[in-house]
Amino acid sequence: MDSGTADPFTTARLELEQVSRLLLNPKPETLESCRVRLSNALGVLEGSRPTWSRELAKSTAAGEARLVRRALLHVRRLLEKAAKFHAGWQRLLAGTVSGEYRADGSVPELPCPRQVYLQG
Amino acid sequence: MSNLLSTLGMTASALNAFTQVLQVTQTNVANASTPGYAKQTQTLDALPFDASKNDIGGVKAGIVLSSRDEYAEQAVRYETSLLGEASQNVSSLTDLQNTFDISGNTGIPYALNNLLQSFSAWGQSPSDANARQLVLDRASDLAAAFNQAASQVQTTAQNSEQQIGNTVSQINQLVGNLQHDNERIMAGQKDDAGMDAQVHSTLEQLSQYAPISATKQPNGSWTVMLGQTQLLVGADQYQLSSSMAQPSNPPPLNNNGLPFVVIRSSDGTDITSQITTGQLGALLNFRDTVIPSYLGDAYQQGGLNIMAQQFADRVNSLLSNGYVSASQPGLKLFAYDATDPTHVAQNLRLNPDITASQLAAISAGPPQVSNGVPLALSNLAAPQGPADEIGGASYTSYYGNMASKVGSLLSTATNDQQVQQSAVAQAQNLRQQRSGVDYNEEAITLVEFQRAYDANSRLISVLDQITSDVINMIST
Repeated sequence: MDSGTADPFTTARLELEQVSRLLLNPKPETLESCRVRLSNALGVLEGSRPTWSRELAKSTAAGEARLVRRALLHVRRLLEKAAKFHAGWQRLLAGTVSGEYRADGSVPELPCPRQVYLQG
Repeated sequence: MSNLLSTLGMTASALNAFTQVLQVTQTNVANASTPGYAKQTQTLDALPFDASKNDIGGVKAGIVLSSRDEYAEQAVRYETSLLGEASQNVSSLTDLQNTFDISGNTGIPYALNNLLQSFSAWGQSPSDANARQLVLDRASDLAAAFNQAASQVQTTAQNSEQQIGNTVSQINQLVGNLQHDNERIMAGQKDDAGMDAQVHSTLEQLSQYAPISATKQPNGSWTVMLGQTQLLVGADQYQLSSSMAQPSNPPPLNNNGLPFVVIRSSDGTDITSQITTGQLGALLNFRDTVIPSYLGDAYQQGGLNIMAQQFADRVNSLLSNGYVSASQPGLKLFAYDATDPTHVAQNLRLNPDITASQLAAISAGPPQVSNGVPLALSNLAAPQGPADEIGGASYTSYYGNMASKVGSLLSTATNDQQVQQSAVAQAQNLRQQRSGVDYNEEAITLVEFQRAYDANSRLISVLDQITSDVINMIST
């Protein structure tokens, strides 16, 4: 469907479905594309807010709005899973690099090679 | 001279190291399409350089280290286990949904509607023999519809029990395969990439059935756990078993209630509560939680039995408090075994002692009304008070709620299945990304990831609010 002529809910859903596809292979560059598409979806929905009542009066709009919600939940769960993966990996890596685990099981921050540390 | 010898030694060591790297690369190419195969990398460890101690620097061959990141492997297994759970839920709930037709053209709602209509017709012609006979026929049909629904759910329960038994056997078989792999590994195939691929492939299959965790031991063998339960340690396999059991603590309220399916470890310990995901987790939840909500168990009567009993009791009460004639009290329309509350739906039947002429139409009053009982019975379609309701709703609504609960669970399971299919693909891609990374490189990438997640997360929060607003507009 041509998003230029589609209703705002369909346009937002198509953007969100594209984000889900991008999140199948999360990399810093794909996440940047996700951010752009999420911004697009947000812009479309926010921009159409004044016309929601009119849109929702159409027979298919309520169903389409529910699909937007479902697509967003799908995106959110994929994003959470990817973030959880990298947070866990960061923790493991920090523990491995430092060789240090605190009494509460936590590990030091992962030192970033591009950062400069000054110690007095 | 010693320096020259040292330099030659360094060169030989480095050559040897690079030769091994080349061998590893060749193995990678040969195994690239093997399921479960992970790229092997040869570590090139730096030798100390200190001229004063004659340490000459360079690299040496470290042990062949599998670049497969066990963390990423476990993440794939975790998501696979959740996918197994969601897929099984879809399958089980689809079966159950077939029992609860909400179209109104078959089953309990159809029979209930017909009986309520027959009460109404009888109320218009209380002496009409055909109208009276129709009430008996429709009541018999409703009892049969309850029997059939209970029987179908019972069959679904038995199918689940069969599936649980098969799944446990499948788990034992896969762990048995891993046990043989462990024996070979401990006999010397420790660094065999093909063996590594085979083990990981089996572990992935296993995770579809149950939420396992696997750890590689220093001797190369694998330890496999299910929660806190050992399934495999070295060459020792610990088999699971399934059985049916009636709980004893707290004491059961219904002695004939559906027993629970219990999974036991090799020492007989009940480990059912540790199996929360995977196909087995879904089957256990379906069999021990979802099914009993309809058929009952040791501690609950179950929705179908509650509905059957309350409807029969209300109809029987109205009829037996009425009169066939001035001196002849009414009889009950339905019969069931009151000592077995979890089988009311299965055993509900038309009172064998009643005939059409014995249906009581006259309400007790005062004042007595010649068609008072059938009118009161037809009120069950649109209750006027709590006595005609079940759980605060009409019988039709109560049934609708039971049916829609299955539909709602199935809808959630279908969504979960779609998300989990994506999540498994995502975890597999992340596993690919993790192979063979350098710590420093990785630390920089992780900082980039963190920023990207933060930015996306903020947008998701705003979108969450906006889409909630839309859904609220639809609902109001």
